[in-house]
Order: sequence, then structure tokens, then C-alpha cells
Amino acid sequence: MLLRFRDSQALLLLLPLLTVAVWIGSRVSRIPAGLLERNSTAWQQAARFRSTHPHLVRWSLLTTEMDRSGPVNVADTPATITWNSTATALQTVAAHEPALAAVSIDQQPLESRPFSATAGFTFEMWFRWHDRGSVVGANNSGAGTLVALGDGVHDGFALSIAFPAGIISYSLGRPVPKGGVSIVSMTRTPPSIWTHLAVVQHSEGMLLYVNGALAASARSPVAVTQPAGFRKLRIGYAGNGDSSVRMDVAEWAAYTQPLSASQISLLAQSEVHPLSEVFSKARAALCAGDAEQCLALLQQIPEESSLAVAARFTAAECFRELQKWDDALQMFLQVRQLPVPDAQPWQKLAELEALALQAGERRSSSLLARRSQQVNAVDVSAGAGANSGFAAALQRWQQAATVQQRQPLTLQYVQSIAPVLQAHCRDCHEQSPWLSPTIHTQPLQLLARKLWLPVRSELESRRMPPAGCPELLIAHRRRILHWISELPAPDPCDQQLTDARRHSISPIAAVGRRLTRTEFCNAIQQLLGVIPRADLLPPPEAAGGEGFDTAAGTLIMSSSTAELFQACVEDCVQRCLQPDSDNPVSPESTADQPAELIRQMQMPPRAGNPALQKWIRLAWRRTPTAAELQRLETLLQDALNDGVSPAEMLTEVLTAVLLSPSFLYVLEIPPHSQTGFRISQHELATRLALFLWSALPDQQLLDAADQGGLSNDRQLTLQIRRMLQHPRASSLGTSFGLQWLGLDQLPRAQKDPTVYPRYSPQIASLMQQEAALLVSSVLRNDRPLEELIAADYVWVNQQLADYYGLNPVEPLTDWQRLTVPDGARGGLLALGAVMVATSTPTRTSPVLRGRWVLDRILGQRVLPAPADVPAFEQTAKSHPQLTLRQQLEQHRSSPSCRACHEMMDSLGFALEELDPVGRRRDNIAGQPIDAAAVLPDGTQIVGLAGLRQAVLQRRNQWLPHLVRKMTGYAAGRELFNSEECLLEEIVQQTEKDGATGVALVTSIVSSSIFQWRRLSSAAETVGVP
Amino acid sequence: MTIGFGNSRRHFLRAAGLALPLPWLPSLSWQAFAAETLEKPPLRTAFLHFPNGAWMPDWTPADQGDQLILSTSLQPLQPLLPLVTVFSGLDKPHSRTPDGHAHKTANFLTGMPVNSTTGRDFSAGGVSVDQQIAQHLHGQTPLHSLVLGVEPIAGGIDPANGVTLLYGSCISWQSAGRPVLPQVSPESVFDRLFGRSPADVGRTSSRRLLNFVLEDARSISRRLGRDDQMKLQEYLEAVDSMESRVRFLNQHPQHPLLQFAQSARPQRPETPEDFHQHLSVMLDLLVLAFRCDAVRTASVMLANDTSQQIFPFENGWTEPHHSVSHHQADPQRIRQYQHINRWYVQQFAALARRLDQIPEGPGTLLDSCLLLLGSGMADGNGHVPDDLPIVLLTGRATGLIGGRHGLYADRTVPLCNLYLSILQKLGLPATSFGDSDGTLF
Repeated sequence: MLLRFRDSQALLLLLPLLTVAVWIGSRVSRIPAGLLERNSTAWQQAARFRSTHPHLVRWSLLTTEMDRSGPVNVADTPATITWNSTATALQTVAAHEPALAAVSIDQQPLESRPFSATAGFTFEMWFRWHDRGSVVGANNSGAGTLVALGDGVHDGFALSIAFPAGIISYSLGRPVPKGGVSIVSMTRTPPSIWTHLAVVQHSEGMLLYVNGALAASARSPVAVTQPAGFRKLRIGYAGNGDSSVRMDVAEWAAYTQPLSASQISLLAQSEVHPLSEVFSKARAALCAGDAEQCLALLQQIPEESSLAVAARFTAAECFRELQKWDDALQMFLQVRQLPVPDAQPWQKLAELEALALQAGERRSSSLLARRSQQVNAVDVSAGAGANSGFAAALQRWQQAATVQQRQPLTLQYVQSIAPVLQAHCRDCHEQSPWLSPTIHTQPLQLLARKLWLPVRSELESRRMPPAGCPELLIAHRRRILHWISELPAPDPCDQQLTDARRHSISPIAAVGRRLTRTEFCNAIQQLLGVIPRADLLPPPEAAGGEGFDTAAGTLIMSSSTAELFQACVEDCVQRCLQPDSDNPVSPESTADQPAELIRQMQMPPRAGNPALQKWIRLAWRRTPTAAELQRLETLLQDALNDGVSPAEMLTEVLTAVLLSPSFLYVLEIPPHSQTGFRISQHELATRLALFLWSALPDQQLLDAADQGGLSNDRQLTLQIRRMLQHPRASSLGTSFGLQWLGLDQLPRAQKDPTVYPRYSPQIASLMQQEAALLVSSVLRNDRPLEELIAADYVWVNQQLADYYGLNPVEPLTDWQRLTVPDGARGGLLALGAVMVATSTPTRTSPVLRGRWVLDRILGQRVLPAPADVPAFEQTAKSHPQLTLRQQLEQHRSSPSCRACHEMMDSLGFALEELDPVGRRRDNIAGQPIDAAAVLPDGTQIVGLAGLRQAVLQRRNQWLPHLVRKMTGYAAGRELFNSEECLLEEIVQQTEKDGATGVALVTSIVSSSIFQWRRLSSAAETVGVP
Repeated sequence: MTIGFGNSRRHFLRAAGLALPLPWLPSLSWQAFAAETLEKPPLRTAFLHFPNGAWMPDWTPADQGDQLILSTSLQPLQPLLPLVTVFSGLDKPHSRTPDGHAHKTANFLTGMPVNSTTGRDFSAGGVSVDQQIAQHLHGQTPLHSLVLGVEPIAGGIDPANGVTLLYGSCISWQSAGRPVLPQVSPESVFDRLFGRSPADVGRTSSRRLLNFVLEDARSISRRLGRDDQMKLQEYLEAVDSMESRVRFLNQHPQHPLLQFAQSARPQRPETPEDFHQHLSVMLDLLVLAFRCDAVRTASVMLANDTSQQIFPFENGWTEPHHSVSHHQADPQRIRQYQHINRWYVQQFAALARRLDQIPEGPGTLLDSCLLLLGSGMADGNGHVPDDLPIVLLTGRATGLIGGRHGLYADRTVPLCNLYLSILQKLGLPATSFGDSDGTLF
């Protein structure tokens, strides 16, 4: 192989080092003369194997003599290994064989062209690691990269070693949106000892061998994803976020075919013994989690055989897996003292393991516990096919344990619940998992609460069984509901979890996001005192997550958006620095505002200017670091050198501050090498301000964060109260409220002007404000949350009051609360905006209204109608003499339609008193209004008042739903089933504190969903989806 | 913007044909700028998508093979018949399940499965064909690609299937998980091409600023967790592409884009109220962008998925496009549906005509264009995912013969085969694209 160098000078420098040459051997004749004889027999065998293997694509080694130079073709041409560094010279040391040399590497990797590995591959390497390298990884300082092709997370594969334990892991990348899968070696790798490492990847699984013995395996049908063409194969530091390793590499080879265990042990130069097969089976059993089987197999290996050392070592590992620590320690010590020659590697290992045990390390149990947490949280009943043997064994163990505990529930199910369900539900729900006839044989699946919650809600609301099907006896219904309520709640919340473990329930979710348009606008106003121009703002975001624009997933930054931000920021900075009558300046601008800080700044601007630093602190929500200030200073100097005027320099530096991700993005920096962390005080301040104000934290909040005040519950509550009193908290209505209720696009709704001449998009905007004020006033003024539904007042200004036909005693000067007699209006259900949004241009739509109530308020998802349902207009045409209501009832003639429509239409009929443009009415085209309805569970409701009562009574539906939506808004992501228990806790806390606006906000802010984050590690351990 | 009540049909027709006032200057084209190695004009591609499918009995040409007889819906393409190839029977297998528009529109240009999500893990399964071309052409034009739309980007969650509505607004995907959001405001597209003022394009302070931001972002990124790093990566790439554009223009001061921006500056458009006008203006900007070689590939969402546009073809018709496409075999609705299909084809033909009016080399700009018009589903009523309505317009200098009907009667040929053929025509060393299993030409 040829060593390529960038610089000719370096070439001269390295000429003395050309005493080493690197190349690939392809045929026996190509192995340099003399090498075979001068190295051990075992090496010769391995070398012959390599050189004759048809699927070898790379093989490189160093010799201690200058022999041939130049690349030798193998399967791919040319395969060169490169050392791209002019600064660090290539260092060599003696290798594991007398006539070989090894390369010493640390932060500079060896690079080679990648090989194509789609059908499965084997990679093997002789190496010796010393300790952690000089480069500390940003993502993971506790592990170093040994080999990487691609990044091992989304493509290719990676081998890394954990410090100081010396445990190797192999991860295989899967393309976005999935992450990698990895396996972790059971066997440690001692430092400064030559070790042979091999990974075998085939279509069914992944295998990791250390010194020829299987150290980890997993069944996983994951295909190899080739990384992009320009990616290199790197041995050593790969820049994927892990650290570098100080190590020596002697020899490595790659094959595009998976090799067998005996072939690997040949390559590892361990003797291929007649009993090797038994030994391999034993190791495979150990790696699959079956330590007892492994011990049984090991019995077959006699004491005198040369495998005895390895066998004993493996037995010791088995004891460790079975958590028999003392036995394991004894066995390791025995191995260490065995007077067997050539047993050096095993004995070194045994010594290390013994030391670790004596120091109190309990390795296998911690692995078990961590996996058990994850296995429980994610969903054992998902039946993921990619379970490793280890996780499957764990599952079996857990099942055995839990079946003992949950016997009575299973029996109960089989005896009294299942027959009833089969009799009543099988006709339509035959395929449903909860009706599976064999589910009782899998207690963990049967007793999963998640499975039964939809059944419970259907039974409770009497939607099921639908009318027309045999009625469910009250006794049976009660029994089923009682049984469901007895089901154990998800374990993670049952236990006394510390905060530190709590975050592990939350799935990994990217929360880092850019500011939304609203937040950006408000932040600019806070910092510069100007309102950004509408045509320069990026377009409104799509809502995602729980249905809000704060969801990180849908906040996309494309280059056009970035350009708009740049243009907008530049424009705003200019207008701030040169205010005049043409530029609209925000009314907030007063003498002590941040904008004044920069207007009064001394020229020429320097990064060290305290006023500028104070302003940057507000913009970035934290004190800038010295490096960042240095960068800004460099920018200013460059501008000065280019002959830019001081005023323009100031513009430039302010624009730079506002285009930095520290302003534009909400990012949270994890402390080193942890999988979950609590966000810092300043990050909490930012999140809090974005939640309550859709704006940046102010001076007071940042000061509290500086002093660590936000970790104190009492102080946090004080801050929350203060922030809710601030005018900016109206964003809870305009941003959260309108998006929650689906009213943010209201002015686009079209109504027929011939029928409704007084309606206009301007009225629609006023209605939006009314809705926003209702939500924000309840939250800010600490009103009981029922007022959202049960309010007997409306928020109106004079124009809207006239429109609604309300006659206030005195003319209204501005938006005010107006009590409405007889409950004719008031609350979310009677909002004019909702009526407009849930009607067609010419008539009301009880179906849409009912669905709105179910979906937005009660949190019950309504499935779409089947595809072959004829449009409503057809029914209307064929029965013109019937009223809308009667026509709709015709429409619901089949039982499958009735199941949903019974509920939806009833709720919608109750709102018939309000017309398509939000006003009250007494008749519809001359015919009296029939606003009475009967809900599926028998409740009779009449009109708006009845509907209010019915909804209020379902507190266990609307309150958790409100909590869910608000938490989703605050957290900026959707919430997962595994977090149900955390949400329940928030609901309970809110109730405990009085179920008022402040209680709700405080409970959410104090929850772990808001304050903790879980990080994905480099790759997920196999078996946990 | 919908054409609301109160606008008469006459007003609508009068508004048709409104174009962006362009200075018709002689060839300030790629030729003045072209490197010596280019012997003929570079090929340009544009992919246009119209929503809600088409009424196929009136779309599919009657005969097959060399004699192409256009159906009524495709009549507006008659003057360009020698350039037109109509494809029938192309399939998008990954759109069969689940139901819903999102899974049919989002992967119109990728052909791979769309991930059901509310936003946590977007995916259209792969890179879209226009972005693939843009990546191949990276560094040859100041802008990477142009992704345009007319209707505002949809937001919210589709209550029917709990999937984000964002899918219905994006057909261009930079990578499997990252959409390129269309620009819908003519002002912002204009500013992006020509800067907000003549001095704006390629100024040095931009470079200083952008380099600062890049360095800053990189240093922050090193300290973040992997998930946040990926989010920040979007910003890094966006700023990087801005910086490389400035650098490109600084390195090529003779580029036609600069000349247009500084000396032959067109008038800055405003967002029209009218949907038709808005669409016309966006297509004009596309023509302009091709003309000054700002981009060589583009995608246009003529309207969002489940578009609610109201077209007053039949008198007093108030039903939105999406409802019309769910015609339930009602003959009146089907007539309206056909009108709407034909209207979109008209806009496509108008685009081609405008390109044909710009002289370039021995012929016109259209000669080196490959334009594709299609929809992610066939019949909108059943959300049919195969037999997609696809029309390809190939310029005279592309070397492809038009005036043909490509019929694939068994409906198993993936649409991606067409994309692969286009990619290979453009010189990409691709052997597969999406779920392709071969090429069409």
C-alpha cells in the first residue's frame, strides 16, 4: 500500500520513516518473502487463510523491513491506506508477531476507501489500546472510536471502546428516522495487550468476537446501509462524537462475507481445537443470555485440554451473569493462577475481571437493570422481532415473575370477562388484539392497561355496543370496567422514582428547535423595540406534535427561511438604530428598554462594551463565553479593516448576534456523557418565558436564573405568578388558546354574504380575540378551570357586543368582561368563533360541531367516515321537506354509522341555538329549533345550558385533555403513551392545588416532562425499539 | 387565496394571462457566462404538481404508440404536440397504504414510503428527484434549486389519520427526513433571486456575517446532544448555502443573475389576491430564474393537497376542488372536475409557451427544458395510487422525441422509472432511484 502525503516537504521529512511499507497481500506469493518463516505458525495459518479467501477485499499489515512498495490489487483497486497528516509523523512499534510492525495512532486516524458491505461482511483487526486519547468526544467522552465506516448511527458501522472498563461495542447504522442498533461485549479488553477483534455481520444478526471467543451477539435482521460514497473507512478517531483512543494497530482485514466462529478463531491465532465447537456453542449460549446452558456445555470440556483456561474464564463469566459474585471471583482468581503456558491473554483478562469484582463492580446486574427499565417503559407487548437473546431472556424472567403476582386477574379474565366480550363484540371486532382467543396465555400483554383504555372509554360512554346490537347487561358492564380499573398502572410511575429515573420514561425526542414566528417577532420587539415587517417574516409554521407550532418536528429551517430571517433581522436592526416617523416603533419602547442600551452605545462598538454584553445576555439568555466574545471582536475588526463605518459595524454585530443559533434556536446543552439531564437554570428560564409569553425572558427572570432561584419551588411559583400578570402572558390565549381550539385560521372561513351580510373577516378577527381572552383570562387570573366551560360572561368590545346583540349598560371603551344573563352565551362551547369554524357557508353543521366538542374539548379522537358514505347533500335533495335535523337522522340509519354519530350529532344539536356566524337565533328558516338531544348514555340535554352541564360532568375527560394539550405546547412535542403516568401526575397535582389556572401552569412547569430531557446515545442497544 | 363570492366569472377570465412585467432583453443567457467546456445549453428540469388527481377517462389519450391524440383535458397542449409525451399506467406502490392524501402527495417526487407522524420523524423515504438533480449540479448555479408553491403551507394535524398536514404542502425533500418548504410569496422569491436592492446581491458584509454565523453554529453544535445537533444541522446547511451563493457570485461577476440584479432589474411583484394571478406570477419567476441561470431545476406545487380552491366554471359553483374530486360518480361534479384538470394543464402550457418565447442559442429556452406535470393520485374519489396522470414536455434540444403516448397497461411500472430515466438523461451516474426497477427511455 502506498502512503500518500499532501505536502512534498512532509514527504522529505518522512523519508527516513520509509523504512516501513504498507501493502495488501492477495495471494500466497504476494505475502512478502520471508514473512511467513519469520512469524509464528499460527500467524502463517491465518495469513494463508486470508490470502486464499475469495471474499477478502482488504488486508493490510506493516513489516519492519523496507520491501516492496506500491499497491497490490485484491478485489477492489486500488486500496490505499492514507496518513493525512503533515504535523504528526507516523510512529511504529513492534507488533504481536516478530516480523510485523504496528502503527501508533491517537487523534489522527488511518483512512482507507470504504468497502461495499451490503450482503454481510467481516472485519477483523489486531490492536492494542492503551488509554483514552487526546481528543475528547463531544457527544460521548466515555467512549472512543476504534473503527468507523460512516457513523454507525445512520449508516455503516462503528466499533467503539468504553473507558476505563475497556468494553467494546459494535453498532450498525439504520437510516433516518431510525437510529442504530448495537451490541456490547460481555468480555473486557485489557489495555496494552495485543487483542484480536472481529465483527461479523450477516443477514440475520451481528456477532462480536474478542480474541476468537464470542463476546456479544444479537439476532437482528438489519441490513447494512452503505454510507455516502465519499465517506472513508477510518481506524482511529472518526469525529462521530466519541473520543479518540491511544492505540496501536498491527493488521486488519475485511471480507464481504460473514465468517464462521472457527474461522475467526483461526484468524485470532487461537488454536482450533477439536473441542472448539463445544466452546463456541457455550459462548453463544452465554451471549444469548442463557448462562446455565453455557455452564452445562462447559462441563464437556476436560480439565487437561488446552481450552481449559478459556473454558474456566467463560464459566466465571457465567457465574457473573447469574449474579453469583463470589463464585465468579473465585473462578477468575483460579484462572489467573493456572500454570498453563500461552494462556497469557486469558489470565490478564481474568486478573482485570477479578480486580473489578473486588472493587465492587457488579457489571451484569447494572446492565440487566437498565434494560429492564427500558423494556418496561417501552412496551413489552409490542412483540418486536428484533429482540436479542438477552432481552428475550429477560422478558421470560419478567413474565414468570409477574404471572405469579397477577394470577387472580388473569383467572378473572378467563372466567368472567372473556365470555362476555366474545359474545358481544366478536362480530365486528374479531381482529382486535384484546379479543384474541389466546391472549390469556400472555399475561403481560393481557394486563397491559394501554390495551384496554379504548375499550373502557367506549363502554363508559355507552357508544359500544351500538344501538341495534344486543344490549350489554349493566352487571356485565360494571364487572368489565371494574376489572380494567384493577389493572396495574404502568410500572414506572408506580415505583418511587427519583427525578433522575423519571426522564427515562420519556422517549427520546428532539426538542431543540428554532423560535417560532410569533416568538421571533416578540423577541425582536423586546430587544430592538421595533415590529418586524410582515412581508419579511418567514411564513407561518405548520403545526405538529400535539397540534402546535412550537413542535420541534415541524419547525423546519430551509435556506429560504434562513434568508428571510437574515433580511428581517437586518431590516429591524436598521430601523432600531435610525428611528423616524416612518418606522413603526413598538409602544413598549421606553428609556430602560434593551433597545435603548444599544442606541446609547459608545462608538466604535467593541465586543468588550458592557452595554453590548448586557444586550447579548438578553438576546442569548445567558452570558456569552469568552470565545464567543472573541469571535465577535474578530468580526468587528474585519469590518473595520474593510473600511466599514462605525454605524454599519454596529448594525453588523447586532445582526450577527441575532442570527446566531444562541438567539434563533432553543438549545439545551447536555452535561458530559449522560443519557438524561435536568435542564439548566437559564434553559429553564428560556422555556418558561417561551411557554408563558412566547417571548424571551426578561432581566428579572434571568437574574433569578443566575442565582439558581428557579430550582426552588416557592421562588418558581412566585416567578410564574409575576409572569402571568405581565401583559405578554396574553400569548397564552392567542398562541396556545387559538391553536388548541383550532381557531387560528378563522378569518379565512367563508360565509355566504347574501345570507349573512353583517359577517366579515374583521368580525372573525374580533371573535378570535374573544376566544383568546377567555382562555388567557382564566389562566392568568387564577380562575377555576371549570370557568372555561361554565363562564357566564363574555369578553367583548363595543363592535362585537353590537354584533352579538348584547346591550351593555354603558358603552364599552375597550375589551371588557360582560356578564350575559340566562347563560345565553359564555364559555368555550358558546364562542362565536367556534360556531363560525364549525359551519358551512350557508348552514350550521351539527356533525362538525359535535366533532369539535369531542375532539378539542373531550379529547376523543373521532375516526373518519368510511369511504363509501354518500354525501350529505344527496340526502338533502332527496328529502327536501325535512328539517336539517331530520335529514341528519335519516343519514344515520345503519348501526355502524350510528355508533359515532349518536354522540356527535347530539352534541351538535344542542348548539343549534347559535347560527353559522355566531349569533343566537330562535328559529331556522321559520321552523322552531329543536335543541334537545339524548346522549348515548341516556343523559338528556337541552340546548347550550344542557351541553355545558354534560361536558362539565365529564371532568375526567376534559381536564386531562387540557393538561395534555398544554403540556404538548409547553414541551414542543407530542406526548407518548409511555408518558401517560406522568400526565396523570400533572392532573393530580393540578387538582390538589385547586384546579385553577396558576395551579395548572405550575404543575406543568414542575413536571419532569418540562424540566428533564433524555438524550439518545450513539446507538440504541438491540432489543429495545 | 380563493376566488371569493362577488367576483364574477368575467373578472376571472380577464385576469387570466396577467404576467410579471419582464424586460425582454436579448440573450443575457448562460452563453455569455458559460465555461468553455459547455457546448450547448444545459438541461433544465421542472416538476409541477397539481392536487386531487384527475378524471382519468378524459385524461388518458385514446390511442397508443406514435400517434398521440390528446384528450379534452389535455387539449391546451395541442400546439406543443411534438414535445408532449403522456404516460399512462405508472404506479407508486408505496402509496397504496395507508389511505389519505399525505401518503400520496408527499412522495410524488420520491416514490418511497411516507412515515405517519405528527412531526417527530418526518420521512418521505428518500431524496426527491429535483433535489437529487440539484445535488448533482451543486456549484454550477448560484441557487441550489427553486421550490415554489402558491397556497400557504398547511398546518395542523389531519384529524382523519393523525398525520401532520405538512406532508400535503411539500414534494421536494432534501433527504428522507428533511422537506424543502415551498416559497409562496413572490416578493420573497424575487428578493432571493435579485436581493432587496441592486447592491444587495453578493455584498461582502454578507460573507463576513455568514461566516461568523457558521463558525458560531459549529462551535455550539459540538456541545449538543445528537438530536439537537441534527436540528441545528438544518440551519448550518441553510447558512452554508447562503454563503456559497455569495461566494459563487463573487467568483463569477459576469454571471447573468448579477447583470439582471444590477442593471436590468425587473420590477418587484406583489402577492396578488387572486389565486390565478398568484400562480402566474410564480411561474413567471420560474421562467426568470431559468433565464438568468440562477437555477437549473425546480419544483412547483400548483396548489396544496386537498386544495379548497373554488373555480367558477359551472355557474354558481361553490364547491371546493377537494370536494369536487370526491365526485361520487355525480356527472355534474365530474364535469367540474374535468374543467379544473384542464385549467391546470392550461397553466402548464402557458409556462411552456413563455419559455418558448425566450431566445437562447439557435433556438429558445424551452428547447433545453424537461417539464413534468402530474399528480400523486389518479382518480381523486378513490385516491387511486396507480395509473398516475403524468405529462412530460421535452424540449427540442433534449434529444427526446415527443408526440407519444407511453402506455404501461399492467400498471406495475413504478413512476420512479421515469425519474431514473430523467436522471440518467441529465448525466447522473444513477442506477436506481426510489423504487425504480428499470428505465423508460
